[in-house]
Amino acid sequence: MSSVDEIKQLLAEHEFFKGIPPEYLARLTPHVILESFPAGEYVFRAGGQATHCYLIRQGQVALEVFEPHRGGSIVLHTIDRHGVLGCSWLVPPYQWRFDARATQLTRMLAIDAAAFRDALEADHEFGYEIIKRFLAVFTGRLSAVLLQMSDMYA
Amino acid sequence: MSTPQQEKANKTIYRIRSVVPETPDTATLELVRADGGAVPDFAPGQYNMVHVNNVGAAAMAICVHPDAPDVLLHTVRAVGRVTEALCGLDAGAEITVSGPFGAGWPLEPAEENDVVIVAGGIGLAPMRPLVHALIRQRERYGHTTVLYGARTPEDILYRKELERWRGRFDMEVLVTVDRASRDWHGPVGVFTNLIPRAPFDPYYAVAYIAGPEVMMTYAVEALHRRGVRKDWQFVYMQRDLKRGVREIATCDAEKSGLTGPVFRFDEVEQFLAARE
Repeated sequence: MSSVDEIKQLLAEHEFFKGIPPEYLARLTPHVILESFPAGEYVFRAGGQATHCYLIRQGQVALEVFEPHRGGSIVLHTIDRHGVLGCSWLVPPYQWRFDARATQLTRMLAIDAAAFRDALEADHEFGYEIIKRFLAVFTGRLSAVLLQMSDMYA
Repeated sequence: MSTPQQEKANKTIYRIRSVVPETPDTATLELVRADGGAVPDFAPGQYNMVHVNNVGAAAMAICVHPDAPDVLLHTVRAVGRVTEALCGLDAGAEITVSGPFGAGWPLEPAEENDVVIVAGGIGLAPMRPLVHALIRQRERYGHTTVLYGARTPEDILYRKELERWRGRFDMEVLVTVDRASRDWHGPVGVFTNLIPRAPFDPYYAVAYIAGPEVMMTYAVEALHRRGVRKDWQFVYMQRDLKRGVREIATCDAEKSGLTGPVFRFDEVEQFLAARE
């Protein structure tokens, strides 16, 4: 079992929360649990309820889409240490759009999505700070996807 | 009387010793001189003109394997008339080679600094002799990292050699692919994702970059964001190589004043962004 202080420390060490005021982290800490996923285990499946926001501390998770005509799942993207896994918890209908599978032993901080949304709604300064950080994640991913789509090595 | 440059341009007949398949559309030609002579000295990053009878010529990065210095290696991707013709040749066939041409990778700036090698697709070909050179005098250079991006796991060039480099205890090799099936356990995503996590000191790092131009542009920006100076980044300009091919083909190499295919990035930044 991890203490509140340990979780607060782990949140502060994660790249996503780098430099964020400690009082903001203190608000989130009661809603965070540590989770581990062995290699091969699914963190979530497409269509499932997005109940948590996951921050990867160690390991790697593959975002996959199942393509029956290709006979299985295709890996679209991998996220590793200091990455944010999934944003579907932030926007309705709060459902995962892809499968997420640990490709190696992966340890994460899981923040309760409903509590996180409530905290962002209750304090717009905090909310704006977090949304800016997510926007950086989104734009980074979008640029990456566009580059991948350009098939630049062809 | 011929100039040294014209002398170098003299054509030499090579015999294909073997054709080593690398990826579905790429192979490495192992060539030995038909007259039994040695492969001329070259600097990593320089290129040869490889001629195919009645088809044309193509510029190709020069490499030799450190254990077999008399075997010239040219990695060919079948994307045009000449390269398709080359890929269709079998062992025993003879081809004409001239060179070496162009400016190679400058190694002096890397001495006592960390080295970051960023390659995409067939851009690993001109990097191979550079890595061999770094390994040969390993003590001169700081932490060395090779970052390589390919389209799929099947398109990874020199896979065994990358694994060997990775197996060394003094070198980091990170590979990512744009898409993969579940059999691939490495990273999937754009190559720039590798740059923030690569273990080098950005304030004492020299970067060498080769690949498609769009990839090089993003690589330079990502390295710069991490703190690597733009004037410590060197790029391998295929576009310049193509122009060089045209000029060499018309025996105008000396007049062209070409210094590529390797350039310091800040010297060609505008040119890289320009459309041809």
